[in-house]
This record gives sequence, structure tokens and C-alpha cells, in this order.
Amino acid sequence: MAITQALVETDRRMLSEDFEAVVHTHQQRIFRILMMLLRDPDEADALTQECFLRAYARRAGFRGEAAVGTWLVRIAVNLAQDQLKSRRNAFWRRLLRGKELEEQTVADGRRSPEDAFVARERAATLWAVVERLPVRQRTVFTLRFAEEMQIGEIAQAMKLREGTVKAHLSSAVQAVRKEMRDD
Amino acid sequence: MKKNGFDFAGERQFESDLEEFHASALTGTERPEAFWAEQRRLVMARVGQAQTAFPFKPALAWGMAAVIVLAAVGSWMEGPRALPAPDFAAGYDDDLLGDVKRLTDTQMPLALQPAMVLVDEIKAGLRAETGKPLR
Repeated sequence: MAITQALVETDRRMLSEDFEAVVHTHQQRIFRILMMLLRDPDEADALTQECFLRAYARRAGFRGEAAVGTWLVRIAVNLAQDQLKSRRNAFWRRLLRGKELEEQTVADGRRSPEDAFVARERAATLWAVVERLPVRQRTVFTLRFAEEMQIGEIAQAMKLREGTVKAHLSSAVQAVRKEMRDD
Repeated sequence: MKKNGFDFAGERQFESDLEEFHASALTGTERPEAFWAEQRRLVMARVGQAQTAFPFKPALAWGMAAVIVLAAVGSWMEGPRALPAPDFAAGYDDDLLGDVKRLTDTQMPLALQPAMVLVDEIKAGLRAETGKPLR
């Protein structure tokens, strides 16, 4: 308890005294999450900046209920969900720039080029399937499997109960599994 | 390969797909250090703007409100500005007329200026009666 309190105090002090260090520590993760949810590097970059600005503006309201990293993820997820809701030209965006994630895949020396190609193709299909999920399911699925966050942390980041997160995740996994099997 | 209705091969494939999904998320969002440095610079520049912009607005609003309140209180305390009362205790007609003339010359509103004509006539009459010049 004392350790948690000390961590909260450290987070709070860093937010007000050394905000650049907070940005430095968390910017890659926030950008990654936004990029995975939005599939658009320019939007992800702009919203990463917006996320830190909002955090700075609201730093006095940081009560330490969650780690500062989780608090930032919550701001980022809200920004992404707002952005997804307001998107009018999603189809054209996807068509023009959404291939970036699929094209940049892991170079794995242990696999044959053919296996690597097949794996890449399947990952691209999986991204496309995830993109068709409802926003909450997509967010939960992405945070769990792409960002490898724990259920509890996802619940804190999305201000949901753990049970609700599990339900969304289960629906998402079922839908993705079915689509991947049919593919 | 299904056993008791469970598709082990399909499940292994799905796990493998999820691993690839995670790996592509990491590599797909990799950026050079210059990108992160520029992003940090932009964030801190905007934070700097926010620092100067935000405290200024409430301060300006409070300042303006204070000036308005002070002006209102000041005018209320001062009350309506009274004209200096002429000294009617002089006792002499010519003194009284002199006071009236001074008042009409200096502070009387335009509507009362015709009274000046009357004052001048009275003065002329008095001068003729007493032979004494008026002030």
C-alpha cells in the first residue's frame, strides 16, 4: 500500500515537474495503441500529441487510481473511439493507407520465406477482420492481443468492469476465430 | 485434427495468428528516434503555449471584472454631482444678482440661459436707481 502510494506520488510529481520525461516514457506505447486502433499513422501521431496535451491539462485531476501509463492509455482509447465514431471516410482511408501495418511484418530467420509469407498474409487478414469488429470489441481485442495488456489494466483503461471486458473479448475472439476459419 | 470435437490444429493456427498479430503490431509501429524526438518537441512546444495561454485568460477576465466593479462602486459612493450652491446670505440685491450671473455664465444649462436677459435688465435698472456699478 505504501509502495503504491509512493508510486502515485512519483507519477504525480513527474506530471507536474518533468512532463517531458512522462512523454518520453510513454509516447511509443500510446502511438502504438492509437496506430493499431486507427490504422492511420498521421492520425495516430496527431492524437498521440493530443493525448499528452490532455494529460497535461488534466494533470491536477490525476488521482492515482491507476498508474500514469494506464491513465494515458485511457485518454488515448477515448480519443481513438471518438475519432472512429467521427470518421466519415473510413473506406477511402483504409484503401489508401491501411496497408502499412500489414506490409511491415517481422523478419523471422527461423521460418522459411514461404512460411513467413503465409504468416504475414494471415496477420493481414486478422487485422482486416479486427477492423470490422464493433469499436469496443476491437479496442479490447487489440489491447489484449496486440498490446498484451492484462484484463484488469484494460478494464481500468476503458473504465469498464473486468467482467464486461471479458465478455467483449470473448465475443471478439469468437468472431475473429470464425472469420479466420472461413478465410 | 479433431479430438472430441475440438479442433487442435485450428486452435494452434489461431494462436500462431495471434502471435503474428502481436509481432506485426510492434514492427508496424516502429519509428526512428528522430520521429519520437520531433513528437516530443511538438508536444512540449504546445504544452509551453498552453502554460502561457491558460493562466492569462482567467487573469484578464478577473482583472476586467475587478475594474468594472470598482468603477461601479466608485460612482455609487460619489453620488450625483451637486452644483456649488450660490451664497444667498449676502443680503444685497446686487450680490445676489452677481451670484446668479456667475452661476448662469458658468454652470447653468442651456435651457436657463434666457434668464440671463432678465438678469441684465434688472442690473441695468438697479444701476440707474443707485448710480452704483454692479459687480
